Amino acid sequence: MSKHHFKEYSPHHPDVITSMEFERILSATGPTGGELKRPSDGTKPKTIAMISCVGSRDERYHPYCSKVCCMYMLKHARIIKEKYPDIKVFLFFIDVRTAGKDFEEFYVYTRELGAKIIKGGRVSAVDVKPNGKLRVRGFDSDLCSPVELEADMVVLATAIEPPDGIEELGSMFTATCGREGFLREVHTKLYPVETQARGVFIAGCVQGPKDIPESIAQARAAAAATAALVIPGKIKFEAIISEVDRDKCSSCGVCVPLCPYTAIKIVEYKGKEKAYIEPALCAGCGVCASACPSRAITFHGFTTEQIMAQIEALTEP
Amino acid sequence: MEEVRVNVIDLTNSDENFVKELEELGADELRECIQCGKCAATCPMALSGLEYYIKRIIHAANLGLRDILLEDSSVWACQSCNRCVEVCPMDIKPYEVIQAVRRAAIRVESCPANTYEGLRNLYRFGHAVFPKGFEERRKKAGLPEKPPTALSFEEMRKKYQELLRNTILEEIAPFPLT
Repeated sequence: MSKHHFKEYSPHHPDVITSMEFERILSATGPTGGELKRPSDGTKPKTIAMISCVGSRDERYHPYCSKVCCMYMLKHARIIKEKYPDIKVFLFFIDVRTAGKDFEEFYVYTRELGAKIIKGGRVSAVDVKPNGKLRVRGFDSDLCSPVELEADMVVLATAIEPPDGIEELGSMFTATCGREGFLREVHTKLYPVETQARGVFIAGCVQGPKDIPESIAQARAAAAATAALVIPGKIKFEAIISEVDRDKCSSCGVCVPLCPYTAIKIVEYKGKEKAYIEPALCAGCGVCASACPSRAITFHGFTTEQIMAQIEALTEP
Repeated sequence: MEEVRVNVIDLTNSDENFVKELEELGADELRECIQCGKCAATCPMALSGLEYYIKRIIHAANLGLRDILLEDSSVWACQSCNRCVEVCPMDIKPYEVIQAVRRAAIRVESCPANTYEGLRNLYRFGHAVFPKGFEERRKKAGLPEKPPTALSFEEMRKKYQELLRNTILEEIAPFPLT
């Protein structure tokens, strides 16, 4: 997210930056060649404040936790304290989320380096003081007191959010987005990389906020799922799918936009345009069969005869 | 006009040297505290409603809030029960933090007045606190006027006073503190 959404943090000030920008400043290949300099005047800051959950866990922007910010804030603090032990680093958290292997150790190590952790309150405001410094106002629930800090630089850990156009991308292969705007997997536990579209798999932040190891694990899972589909050289169809009786089809085309799996297309048959259902794509939902005005589509397993027979059996005296 | 006190703690003056000083004075695991609060859940100071109980003391120490810690008298109320040391999951030894803050406070003579009375007694009688006014009753019970502690052995006390004068206390509080 851009810093400009957050008017309360004085985003117009050049020394209020996002973590992504800060990452570039710390990078050896970045604009400062890895030297820690303030964007405003190129001097080395003496006090840096970092603010977590900017745009995350916030009903006005994104209700979810962006998951990786706590860890990269600690990483930034660690890099600063290792390179420049004299710089004061204050990290303002709602709470510190370091779930996972080795992460808690990283947290304790960063504390040992002297990074100051303020928990239990999101920063309410960053004001520009007349002397040009930034006043950070927060709350420390460990001290049970409001706190304030005069900082030279403020780093906002802004939320991970789905990019513009993700919905259009998803609609190209009939994958849907969840409430939070990320592409949705079929099942959180059982089908974590599968989408509604057969043969289309997802991995990484397109599915939700996640860190590098998780993205890699998910990408490898997606690759394995793809390979499992392709390597046998044959594709197993669903047993229950729909089929068009092309001699009956009136070529009205009603079924084509209705199919959620884009399995139906109009192809030439005996010199006329007729509907055709691609069996590899059909998931057997039955929408087309119920909509067909010519009753030209047979939904195998649920044919009219079969259903009528069931009704008769049920209503037998 | 009376100065209005704003209820906010300014972190700008956070003093990293104070953290280092406390580490040198025995609180060497101080920075590892994750503020879980287990110490405060068992601390009699916290139960009795002291404003700066152990968890807050450690956090304030970690933030380098020297003035707050040295002005507040809470550390002197610690009963040295050491329950915090027994329960601390990070092995911070919270009681050592209390002791370190006390040592730092003594260095700048920021301690309650009765601390000096205790020191004076320690020098003169060998005890910071000792029973007084029981001489008559002791005699009636057939006991010597003074109990068989440092109070009764003047020669030993002189040797002990000499030892005390060779400690760091002599620098901070020159004996006999009259």
